[in-house]
Amino acid sequence: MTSRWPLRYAPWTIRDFAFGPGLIYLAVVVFATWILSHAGTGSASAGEAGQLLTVVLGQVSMPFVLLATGGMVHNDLTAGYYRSIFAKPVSPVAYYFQRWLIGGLGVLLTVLLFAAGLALARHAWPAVGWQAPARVALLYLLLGGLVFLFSVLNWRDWILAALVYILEMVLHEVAATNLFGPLLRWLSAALPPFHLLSGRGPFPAGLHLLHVIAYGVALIAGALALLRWRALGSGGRA
Amino acid sequence: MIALEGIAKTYRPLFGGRSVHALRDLTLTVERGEVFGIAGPNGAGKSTLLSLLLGVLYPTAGTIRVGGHGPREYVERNGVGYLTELVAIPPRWTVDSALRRYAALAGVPAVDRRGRVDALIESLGLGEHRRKQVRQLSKGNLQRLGLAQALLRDSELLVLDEPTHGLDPLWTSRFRDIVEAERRPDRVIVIASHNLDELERLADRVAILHQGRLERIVVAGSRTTDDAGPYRVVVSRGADVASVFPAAEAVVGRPGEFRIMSGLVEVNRGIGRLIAAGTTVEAFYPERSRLESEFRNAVGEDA
Repeated sequence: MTSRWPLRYAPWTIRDFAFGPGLIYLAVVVFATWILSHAGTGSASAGEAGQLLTVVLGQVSMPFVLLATGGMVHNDLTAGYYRSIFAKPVSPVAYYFQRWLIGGLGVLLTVLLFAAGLALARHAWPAVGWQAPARVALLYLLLGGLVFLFSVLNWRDWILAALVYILEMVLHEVAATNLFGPLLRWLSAALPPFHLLSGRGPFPAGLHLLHVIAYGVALIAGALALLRWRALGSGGRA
Repeated sequence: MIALEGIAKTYRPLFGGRSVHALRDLTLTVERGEVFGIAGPNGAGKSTLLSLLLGVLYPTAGTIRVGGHGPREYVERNGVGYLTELVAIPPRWTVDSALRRYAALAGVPAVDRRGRVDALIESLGLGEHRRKQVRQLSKGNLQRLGLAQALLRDSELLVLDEPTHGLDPLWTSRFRDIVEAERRPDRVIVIASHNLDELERLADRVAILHQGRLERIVVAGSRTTDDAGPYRVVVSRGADVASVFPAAEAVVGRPGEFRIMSGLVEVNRGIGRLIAAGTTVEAFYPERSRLESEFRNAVGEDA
């Protein structure tokens, strides 16, 4: 019996990632590194280079995550590709989870590549500690998990996830002013805690870190459970 | 191998609107070794039935067992050779890479993949197209690619939805040879098609669906003496057919061809008398196949 976990298909998924989002990431990283290597006075301390990396990643990590995960399930369902794929001895749960994991590894690899490029450009090796990649990994868990869930629901996944991201950021700022009632604060608390991963704040620790991880894991678990439960088709031919 | 009991499938719109009963109270079994046809007019429920068999849709009522498992479980364990009616493959994939990808998913061992893909590309005449992207393929070539990916794995269940859709006559004929070659005592081949002639030639039994109901199951290719016609008889010119078959109608534009509305026994007797009178009978055949007659009877004016 063939394994339902499609590890045998992983090379193709990696290839799709590399020639899809991977090429865009590479272009961004090369461009950003080139800009940063020609800015300032040449060498910098490791701390300064690390700060630079955090600032740049704060801007690009959200689109990176959306690019890696957008349309992951939704595209296959709407285009009908799922029919040929899941007539093979493959579990849809394993197939898409593997794809999600490979996307996450790709994003992380890009961050490390960027850190290495920055370190070389600013002569500040090592330019990055563990926090910048860890922050991106948590964002992938949270935002990538939300896109995954929306994608399984066959909604406009990355657009909705981006809207939720922006809404949470705005609501968190607004709720902090105490100008609005408890309903708004409750809504802010119920949304995924993206503000905890903002590049402007400290790296989340303790309960904040637990909140981010638990929320992200719940989103992924929800997406996988729904994938197991839902019918992939919506009609005889669709 | 396949057992359906009391299957119903209703599509209910999320926000009101009219429900569509795609299948109603459908019970049937298909045994290993069979080529089983599914016929029916548009909207009869053929594609829905195949989607249920593959576990990509769930029934509203009833139970389905495939090889002793629920359909999704069966497919995840064993895989199914499935040709969709509308072949959907990412348009930027090449023919070669699409088949290698599907071979990996199908669980073809890595060492055998190249050979298996090459053999299918060869047998389905895709050699000159193997470097082309899917979006560059004609309808017929895309259909052949769909068939190739369905045959990658040595599956015990082959499900073919409108398999000759878009194929030219040569490849339609070739397709029949392929199905015959794939027939095995331990395998079930399910073919859904509008093409009754194709089902008549390939299938052992054909289920006729109409408005979501199983109207009847016809043993394909069988003929009995109570077939009421009409029949066509083609005779040498100048033969006095009217003296034997007074109600025979000459077929316009086809000299020597007559349409006879009689039972098989009477037609045989009449032909015997024609031959005895020195007439050469060049051809004699039922105007409609048994399957076509049964189909028309089952679906009436909707056919």
